This record gives sequence, structure tokens and C-alpha cells, in this order.
Amino acid sequence: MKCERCGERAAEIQYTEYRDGAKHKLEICSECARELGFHVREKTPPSGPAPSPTVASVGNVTVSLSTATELTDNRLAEVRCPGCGLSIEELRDASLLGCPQCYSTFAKELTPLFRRIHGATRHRGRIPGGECVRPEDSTEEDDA
Amino acid sequence: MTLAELCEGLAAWLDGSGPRSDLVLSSRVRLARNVANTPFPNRANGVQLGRAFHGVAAASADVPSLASATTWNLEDLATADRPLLVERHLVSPNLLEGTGERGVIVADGERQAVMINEEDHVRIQCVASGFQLAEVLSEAVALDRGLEERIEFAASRRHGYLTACPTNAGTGLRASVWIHLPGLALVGETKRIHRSVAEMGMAVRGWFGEGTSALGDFYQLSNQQTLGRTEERAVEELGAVAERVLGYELEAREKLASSDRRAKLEDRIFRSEGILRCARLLTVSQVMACTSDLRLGRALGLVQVSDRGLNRLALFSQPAHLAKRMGCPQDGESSRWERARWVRAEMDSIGFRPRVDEEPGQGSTERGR
Repeated sequence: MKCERCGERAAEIQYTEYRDGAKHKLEICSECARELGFHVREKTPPSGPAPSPTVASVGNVTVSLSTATELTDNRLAEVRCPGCGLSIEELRDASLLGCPQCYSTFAKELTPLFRRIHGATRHRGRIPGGECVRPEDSTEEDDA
Repeated sequence: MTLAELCEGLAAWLDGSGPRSDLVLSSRVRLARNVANTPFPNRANGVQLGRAFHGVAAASADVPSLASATTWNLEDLATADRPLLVERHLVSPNLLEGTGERGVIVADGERQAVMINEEDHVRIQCVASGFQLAEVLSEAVALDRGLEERIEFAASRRHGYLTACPTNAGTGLRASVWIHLPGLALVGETKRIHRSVAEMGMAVRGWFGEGTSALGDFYQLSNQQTLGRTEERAVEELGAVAERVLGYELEAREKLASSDRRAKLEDRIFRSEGILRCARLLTVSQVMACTSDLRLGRALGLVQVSDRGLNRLALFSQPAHLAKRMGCPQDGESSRWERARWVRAEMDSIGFRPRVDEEPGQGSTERGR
């Protein structure tokens, strides 16, 4: 199937977007996914049906939590948050994290989502104690 | 304070005293927080929810600005009374749908509120009349600091405050302004403005927040991005977008004032006053639409009317407030009848009168010809 966005390259990723209350499902290519702000690995997704992406609402726009290339079947089956037991499938259904630890458990899924929703992946602003975090203060390793 | 006492009064932020309250009903900042090492409400069990509820309530008792606050646990309120808190914008409709111990702490004439165990354990809210986003941000931050000294909130340097929904992570801040856009509605520009606001990274919502419709031409503009922007920057950006929209609204009002639709518009405004004063059956949306017309009439210099009075009509016409006053739930025609009866009785208190120098239907109508 051809990519429904560019109409040229082969579709590899299922992309769901909600705009103005309507659901739009698109099969798109990796290149278009990158243009839309997703992190796409070069690896080809496993054969079989692609898992549907997790979604989260931002105002009247809803975006995918992850793409087929990132959610492999193994990861879907195995990953559960040690803090609250939330699985990726449950996260996909509810679009809500279950506990503070989910932020590190699902970091792989959350990073592209944050980029898409917020245009950023790291915090700037207050943290407990009245401190302000500047971008250079936060690193990938210091998540709770 | 009892719920009945709360519902007899008007919240401070509805008194029409704030800057530019002819265009901006209110400014609000909310901060989403969660108790550290505890599942978020959607994964917490009854015991964990209870511990979070009572922990936050106990901590708030030691925060100076919440010293005279009242705490309502929804579990202790009659089901019919719970929507009163939604109508007063102290809790979200979602809180009513939830289970377990949940509720709200209310202080300072409803200027400050702390909602407990909705999507997040804590939602701090500060709201004030008119356009004063920076001021409500300062108040919310002060309240947050007060709670933070007594509760450990879940946070990391990388993701800031950790919230149940990734759309709130980082600052956990949602700033909003409620703006009155009757001019844009009349010239048919509302949809275009919605699109342009969305392109500027902000959301437009209805009367009761996300997914609800606009009532009385009031729209809520709010920021969407919470990660990677400081609280101050988010509030400044929202303020700038709101300023642009208010500019468009003022242009629309000027256009209306000078157009050949002026006579029709003036007729509409005075008809709305007539409906409020004489109608025997009224719905909430009719009250809101008519009061919106009177606000516009004042903005165009056609009538005098008190903001506080109009806000009273809008709030006390809501279904749960009406039922509370009547002492029993109202529905259908009896509800519309009672609402109209109450509105008629209140009309003398809204300070409505045509502008002295312009007799309706004469001077101003001539301009429209």
C-alpha cells in the first residue's frame, strides 16, 4: 500500500489522528512519520498486523503515543511498570500513566509523544523546593 | 461553611471588578500535582485514594492562605448537591464521575481551590476576575509552595511534575482566560478564530472545559504545552494570544457599531432584556444568550448594566443552583418556569437602563438607516 500522505513511498506505519472530533486513520511511510515529528527506527517492523498506536488527547487534537516501528509484539507483551503494573496495552486504552515510575518504564514510548505534543522532551520550570530547571540541568539519566 | 451557604453567594472572581472585565470574565491558573510514591488516582485503590485525600486535607490546614478553607468530600455530599461544585467551577465534571474519596478545598471567596483525586491527586486552582494572568500565577505558585513544604510531590528534573496524562507533564500548568466574543460570533468569525488560536498552540474550550460547548459567547482560551516551557513563559504566550483575539473582537464590535446591522443589533439587545424581564419559560442557554446580548449592548454604549448582576443571573440559573434554591430537583418545564420566575425577580438588581443620551429606537436607530 502507498503512503496516504505523500502517495509515493510504501506505507509502513499506522497513524491515527483526531481532529475536530473526527478520527482519521492513515497508513504512512517512515519519511512522512519523521516529518510529523515521530522518532522512527530504521528497523523494519515485525511481520503480521501492526499494533494500533496508543493515543493521547491534547485539546481537540489527539496524537499517537507510539508507532508500529517502536511497539514490537514482544515489548507489548512483556513491559509492565514495576510501580503499578500498567501494561503498554492498558496505557494505549486509557492514555493515562499509572504512577510516577511509569515515566521511566515507558520512556521509549513517551519521548516521541512529548516531542509531538509539547515540541520538547525535557522540563523547564519549577521543581519541588522552588528550584528552576534549565535545559542544561536535566539529563536523560535523572528521571524519577 | 456549608454548601448551602456557599451557594447563596457569588464567587469573588465573578464580581466584575478585575481589569478589562468588559472582555475577560476571568483568568485562571491550575497546577497538576501528584503525591510521590503513590499510584495516580486511575491506578490507586480505595485505601491509597483515602490516604492521598486526607494527607492533602491535613497539609492544607497548615497552609496560611488555606487557614479558613472548607473541605468537601464528595462522598459526604448528597448526589443531587455535587453538581453545584461543577456549576461554580470548583471541580470538573470528571470528579463527579470518579469513585473513592475525592473532593475539593475551597478558600478566599472561591479564589483558591484544591481539587483532590481527580485525574491527578492534586489540582491547585487560582482564579480572579478580569485579565490578570500573572497575578493568578503568583498566587498558584505560592499555594503550591505552601503545600509542597508539607507533601512530597512526584517530580523529576527531566520531566518536571509527573502527571497521569502526558499532556500535563512538566509544569502541570494550565492557564486559561474566559473571554466574551459576541462580536466575532455575530460577524461569523468564531470558527476562523478557533483555527487561528489552535495554530498558535492554544486550545479553545466551552463553558465547562474540554469537550463542552460555548454558552453566552464565552470561550476559554488555554495553553496546551506544559513540557519545555517555564510557567512564566506559558502564561505570557497565552496572554499574547488572548490579546490578539481580544483585538479581533474589538474590531468586530466596531464593525457592528458602524454597520447597517446596527438597528437590528439594537433591537436584538432590547428584545433580550424583554425576554429576561417577561419570559415565563427559560433554559440556561437562553439566559446565557440574553445576558451575552446585554453585555454586548453595554460594550457598544447602548445600555448600562452591571457585570456582577449579569454574572449572578448566569450562575444562579444553572440547574443545580435552581434546584437547591427550590429545595427539590427540578426538571423539564417546571425547571424552566422556576428559572424564568427567578430571573424576572432579579432583573431590577442588574442595573439595566438604556443610555440616557440615546432613547432606544430613535437616535441610535437613525444611525443604522
